[in-house]
Amino acid sequence: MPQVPVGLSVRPSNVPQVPVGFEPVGVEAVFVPADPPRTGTIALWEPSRAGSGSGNAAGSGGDATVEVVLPAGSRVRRSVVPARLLTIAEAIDHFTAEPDPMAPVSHRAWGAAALAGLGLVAHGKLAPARSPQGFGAWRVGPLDPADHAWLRELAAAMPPLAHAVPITGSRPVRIHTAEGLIRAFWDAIADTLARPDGAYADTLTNARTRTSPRPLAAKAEPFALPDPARLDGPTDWLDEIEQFERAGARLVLRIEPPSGGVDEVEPVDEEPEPVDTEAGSFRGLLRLRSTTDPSLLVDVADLWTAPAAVLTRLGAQAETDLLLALRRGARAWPPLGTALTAATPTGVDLGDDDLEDLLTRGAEALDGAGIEVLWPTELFGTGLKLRARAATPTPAGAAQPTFSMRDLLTFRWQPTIDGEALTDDEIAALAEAKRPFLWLRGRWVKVDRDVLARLRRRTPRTLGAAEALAAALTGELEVDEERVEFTAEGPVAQLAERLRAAESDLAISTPADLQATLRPYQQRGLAWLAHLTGLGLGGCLADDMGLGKTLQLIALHLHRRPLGQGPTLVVCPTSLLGTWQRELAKFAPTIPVRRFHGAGRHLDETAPDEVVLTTYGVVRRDHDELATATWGMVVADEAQHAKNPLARTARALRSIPSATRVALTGTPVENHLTELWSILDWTTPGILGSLDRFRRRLAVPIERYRDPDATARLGRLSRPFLLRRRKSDPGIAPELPPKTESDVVVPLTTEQATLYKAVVDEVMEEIRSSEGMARRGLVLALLTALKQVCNHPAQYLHEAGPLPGRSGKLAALDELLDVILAEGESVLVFSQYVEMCQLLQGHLDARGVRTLFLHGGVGAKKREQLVTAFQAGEAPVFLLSLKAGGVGLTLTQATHVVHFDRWWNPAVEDQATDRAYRIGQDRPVQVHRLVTEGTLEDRIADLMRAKRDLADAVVGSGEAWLTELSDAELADLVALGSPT
Amino acid sequence: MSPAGRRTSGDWWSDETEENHRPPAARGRGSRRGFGQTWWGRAWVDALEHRAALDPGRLSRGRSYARRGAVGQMDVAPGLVMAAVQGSRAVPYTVTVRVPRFRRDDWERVLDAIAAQIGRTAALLDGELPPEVVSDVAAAGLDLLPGAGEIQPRCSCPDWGDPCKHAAAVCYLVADALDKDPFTLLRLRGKSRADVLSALRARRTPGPGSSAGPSAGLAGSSAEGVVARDAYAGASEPRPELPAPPLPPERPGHPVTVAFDPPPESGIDPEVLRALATAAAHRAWQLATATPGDPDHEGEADA
Repeated sequence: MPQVPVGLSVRPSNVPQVPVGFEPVGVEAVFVPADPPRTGTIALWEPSRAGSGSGNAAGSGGDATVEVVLPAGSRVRRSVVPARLLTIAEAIDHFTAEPDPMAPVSHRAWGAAALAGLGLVAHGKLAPARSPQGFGAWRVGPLDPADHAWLRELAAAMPPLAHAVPITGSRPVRIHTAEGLIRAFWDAIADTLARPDGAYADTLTNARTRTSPRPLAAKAEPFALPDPARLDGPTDWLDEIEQFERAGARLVLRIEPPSGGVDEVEPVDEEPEPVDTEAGSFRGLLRLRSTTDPSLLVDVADLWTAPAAVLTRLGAQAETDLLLALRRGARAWPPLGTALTAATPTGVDLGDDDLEDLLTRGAEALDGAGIEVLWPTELFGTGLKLRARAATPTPAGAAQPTFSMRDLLTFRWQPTIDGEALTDDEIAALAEAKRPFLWLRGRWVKVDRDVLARLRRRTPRTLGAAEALAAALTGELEVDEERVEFTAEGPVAQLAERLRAAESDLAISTPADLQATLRPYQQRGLAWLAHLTGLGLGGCLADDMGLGKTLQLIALHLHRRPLGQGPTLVVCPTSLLGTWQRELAKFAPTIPVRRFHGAGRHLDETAPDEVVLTTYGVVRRDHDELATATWGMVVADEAQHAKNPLARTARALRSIPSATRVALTGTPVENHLTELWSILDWTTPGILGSLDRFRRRLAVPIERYRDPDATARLGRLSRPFLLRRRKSDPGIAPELPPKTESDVVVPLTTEQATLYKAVVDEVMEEIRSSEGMARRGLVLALLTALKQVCNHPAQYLHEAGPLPGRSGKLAALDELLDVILAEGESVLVFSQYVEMCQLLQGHLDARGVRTLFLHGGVGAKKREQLVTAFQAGEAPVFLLSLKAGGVGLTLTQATHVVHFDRWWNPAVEDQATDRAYRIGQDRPVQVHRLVTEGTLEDRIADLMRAKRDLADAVVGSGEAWLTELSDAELADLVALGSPT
Repeated sequence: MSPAGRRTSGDWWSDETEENHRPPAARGRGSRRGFGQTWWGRAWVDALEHRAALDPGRLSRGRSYARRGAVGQMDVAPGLVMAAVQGSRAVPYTVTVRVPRFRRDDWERVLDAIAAQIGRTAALLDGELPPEVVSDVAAAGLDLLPGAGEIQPRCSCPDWGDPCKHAAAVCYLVADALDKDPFTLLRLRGKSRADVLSALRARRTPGPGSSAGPSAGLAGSSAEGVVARDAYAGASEPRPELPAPPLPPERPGHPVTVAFDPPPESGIDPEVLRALATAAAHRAWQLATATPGDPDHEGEADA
């Protein structure tokens, strides 16, 4: 049984999936501390420019610099390098932008530090402090053991370059430690965020209690205003904050219910004593927890009775720690203050009001004061939770309730304790409870007013079908910004179940009219597509290039024909129109096909089983007209063209209704989550929720924080709708032939067509009136000229540019490279013409693709260097312009070969390409031949196939056989035909 | 040179009676008010009138002077109270009242006694001086409140009375000062409130309690670093993978600073600190959980 393809496996964003040859943008980052902390800066600099002395800073005008310590052989050297300096606010913006997995380690490390620093401040872990020069400043703190551990991890992962800021006056020169510099960066972040900017310098809202804005009393300038201000007056109160951080013990408040507490030695299943639930008060027992060994918990009472033992285990300052903790706690939650009145406090009594307050506000306030509140679960359980249950409104009496994606469902709340639903009696008891806790099922259950209010609300809440399905797949629903457990019922549950089990599909038989044999994995792909589309859902087929997505789609169209839901619309890039048409003609000749493209396009009299081919450009322009037809299926080929959900292409595509939608893409879509959203939201609208919520709940946690919980949820949601097989999958690789050849049929641009016709007209005239050697010469000249026109007008006209938009082949090459490079693979590009290779090299350079170029004029030594470089993966694209018979080269790094133009001697062509790479390397190789539609290239391909045997006889004579064609044959050959 | 016998009021050259003498530009509060509203103020007055062994008759004259607001600016320093008192002359008189300070080892005993009680220290850190402190100090064999002969008033006026009414007035007004801030008494005895508190803290925590240096938590103060050559020597060793940043909290947290209060002398308003910290937590939370900007509308090629 072949390995079940996983629909989603998100790469951690810091492990670069570096497409071979993309060298990291060499921008290193380092933090330069300053006093006051908020004036520190992040410096971005490039080691490659370190020796360039003065010069413009990377990317910005001006000559900002940073002093770093760089290695020089076995020694080190202080250097002043050009740099771009970011203020703390700018640095935060920079590092919270989309992470670049290809940036150098130092850059990514400071990005992680920035996010961690923001997280600490977001937790409220910041405190006022005094800077070394006596200014008022903020710093992060207190850090708990987990924070310290993470800090050490980051420091260990930082290369020396990342913290190579020298300490002034040190000999031998010293640099800051990574940990110290990261802490300084965190302090700078806290110091910056605590000071409101100019716009709201005068007012502050107390965000917690939402009191009205009050003018910033001139009572905390050193900590509030942007300008540095010295701290006058005593500052030892600042030290008290540190005391907390260095405390050996933290205060814990353990809540004990009135029955006097349950003896923890008793086994849990024994019946506890009958509890008088009306009388008796709760009590908060004071305990101390060691910070060095968090499993050590000691009753404060022991501190008074047996102080020596406690002090040795918790540290000599245990009493001070307790005192300060009680003071803080009393400030944060006044009922705790009663403990201070006793000489030797052990706990506090809690009245019902106190409990209520503790449950709502007090626990959070105490948490802010560093005091843990424990509700032992053997006494309190895990609390009352609400689950959502969904039901389809079914018409009364329907035997088999149907479920369509257009349905609305209602859901209701179901209260649970420890995972079990409550009975109606219990719910009634809760609603009537007067005390904050109720004795239920052997536990004290918190009576949560919010929960009860929700339960009582009358109006039913509705869900869209897609939302319900998504909730059924993940087991969670988001209601009012909160994630609650979700239980699906009825048809929704069944559908979710069927989707989850989709891997073991019922096989479906190959459609009779399909003129091809499907490989087993293609059979499975077809079954999967048929299953999804049959349910009215859409999906994305994301197989690697070369696995036959087009064929599977054609099979699907044939399979769906009997349903009679209407014709299929295929949207693809212009360069693939020809290919689609050819493949449809080859594999499904009984299906009518038309192109809705170019002048004179129309949709009149579309047959019910027709396939209409169109391009993304036409969809953008004519989506209104396309939307009026009734489509059985809309297919988006190379769907990454609609990856930007807000752009016109995606919006136009969405506006075309159809019974089902299928997206095809070869790029690893799971690496760009917004792209994933755009595609899946088109195929199955609503399944991933709104874009905003998707970003907040899934994309940001996954891409920025690598949150495993979010990754798992996204997997559950998307797996049923995304099928991706890789060439390297164990079940698939053996089935692939070592070499697959395909023709990519591309159209000519208008400019090319005009040139082509002009050349044909002019030279054919001459050929007709010549003979012998002159004629042969003319024929060859004609063929050469036409080949060049088909390649690119700039080659024919001997121009250097511009290049984009003038050649169908160039557009097709760009499309191919997009997918090949996105998958991190390498490719050989052959052309007979050095000039064409040069044009290609310039074009690819401009697009940021590294290339290597080998042609006949290159010496042996340089040739070896190029080959070594390519095999080492230094560049993904190798341009080759070699006469046939070149020396055999080992270029096994490539898994793709593109023939930009062709030798018209088939044996020679095979030889050249086969010699260039070794067949039988362990990875299958795909060969793409670019052929311009309706031109001589098109026809010669047929001719060559017919004359393959003849070719054997003319090995070595190049293309001379063409010169033997008669005028008529020649005219046929070069006539420019229009696409069918 | 003064005539023998006492005068009932005024200076020797003046025949004005108490009743019709009004010092210029000085007005006091109600004429028959008592001194010492709080326990401390009353305790001081008690010490003044009964234990300090001062002449009660002369003291009583000071009361009316104090009541009518003749005493101007009053400063309390260790061992010394100084004030300017408006008499019948244009230039006010200078009054000094001396009270002996505790010696250093006396203070050690006092602080030890206070530090022993957790509740006491808590109250002091809260800015209160509970009356029990007096008994704490007594347990150390000392008297916080002045006893016999410990109050020594002096005045620059020509009156030979001891204390003269000016000085007596100042003595009474110390009670007012104690009402406002009982720590004035400790200050008189030689230690400011801040001194007392840091000494108390030091007792419970050995270690650097110096408030003169930067807060040790501020990272900038660690200046050792690491030798650059050593750092680069290990550069080629494989480094562990970068850890993923920890997840931000579900909602912005409560700053721990909420529970710490700067004392009034620092001039920092704790409410403002709290508001700043809370706002910072919110801002940080938004930045940490914010979604990246919308993808820009890339140029769409005519595909």
